Amino acid sequence: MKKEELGPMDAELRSLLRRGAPPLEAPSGAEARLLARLATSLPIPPGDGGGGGASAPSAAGAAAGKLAGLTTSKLVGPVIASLLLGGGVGAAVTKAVQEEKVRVVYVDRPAPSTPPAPPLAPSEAPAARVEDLPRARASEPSARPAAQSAAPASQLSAERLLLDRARAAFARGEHDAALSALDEHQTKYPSGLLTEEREALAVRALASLGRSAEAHDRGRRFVARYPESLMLPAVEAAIADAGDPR
Amino acid sequence: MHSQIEPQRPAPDAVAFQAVFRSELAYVWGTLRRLGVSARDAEDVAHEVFVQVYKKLADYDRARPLRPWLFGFAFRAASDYRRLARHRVEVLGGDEEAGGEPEAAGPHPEDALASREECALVFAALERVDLDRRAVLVAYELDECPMKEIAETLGIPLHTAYSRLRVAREEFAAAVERLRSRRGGA
Repeated sequence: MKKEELGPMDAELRSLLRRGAPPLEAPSGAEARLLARLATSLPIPPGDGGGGGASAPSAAGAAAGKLAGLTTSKLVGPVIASLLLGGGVGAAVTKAVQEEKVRVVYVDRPAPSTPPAPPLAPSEAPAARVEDLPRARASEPSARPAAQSAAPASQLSAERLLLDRARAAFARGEHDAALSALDEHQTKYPSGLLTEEREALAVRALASLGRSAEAHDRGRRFVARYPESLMLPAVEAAIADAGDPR
Repeated sequence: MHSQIEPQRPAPDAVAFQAVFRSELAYVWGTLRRLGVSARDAEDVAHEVFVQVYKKLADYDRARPLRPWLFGFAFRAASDYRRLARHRVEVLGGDEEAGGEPEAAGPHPEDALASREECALVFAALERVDLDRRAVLVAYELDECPMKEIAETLGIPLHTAYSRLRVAREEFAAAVERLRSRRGGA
């Protein structure tokens, strides 16, 4: 079957499909909720924007520079291209970075050992096969590890509330308040469902407060306990940035 | 030893991820819905998609357009989602769900009603198209993605992609006709 044999779709049906198909939009509030959820499992800043901490234009510039270094092709994906080449999306991204007002850990990852492939025309581009892509887990809603999903939802909600409070404080630069919320979580849920997230954030908060000995101590325990954690780079960077333990 | 911790900069990974997340959440969300993920579960499935996107962001071939790459994640997640029997049952019974969503409400009540009925009709008709073919239909007719890109993203030969599109159109048209006749015309 070739395109010329196929022809266009029936105009009325195509119009109906376009009018009636779910739009490319997310409900209001979904972005903030998802970003907050993602921040519990990934080493990214929460997306709540926080309060009035110092913005980081230089950080945005540095990050854009890093990305520019990574991306040179004119055939780059539209979003990243916009990000790098300016324009609305780039401005929006820069604004988003500036609005984060979060002290997050800088993770300088080594460049890939293989040299980048020369830019290819789209028709020559190698296949990005679905088989090569990662498989999302079968999406049980609110999927968590089995031990966690078996726990009462109310406990998870309560823990999440405390951690959200800690993250919001951290985002505002109120690291003492963040630690206070984390301590409360530790007292109430010493082996809670979100212990890993708590400990990672605690290390970062301690490092940000200059409590380097505690950051090192807690960070070492985190590394030993969660060697495969997604938050490991952030924790290790926080330990490194905390300097020598005092 | 630092007397004071220097301001830490956002990790490039995090910045790039958030850029993709913020600019493409709507696309991923809408694509999941178009591939049959219920409105109720879209947030959970989108979460899974973006966790995977984060993990694989360093592997993203920046010489290629971003959306087909994201479409692959969304397709895979939707496929996994729909394999769960309980989701399949719910989604297949989801006509009322699509019609019940306020997403396409117009400025006037009658417009809103017509729009909701169309949304429900399209949602139900799409549900009657096998996901493999539906993905091609969505990517080609709605995303206007080149067929070669679709074939590469789905890992299928080009002629297979066109064949799927042809069958998907037929299934969609037949489903619309059946649904319209069942509902007394539209």
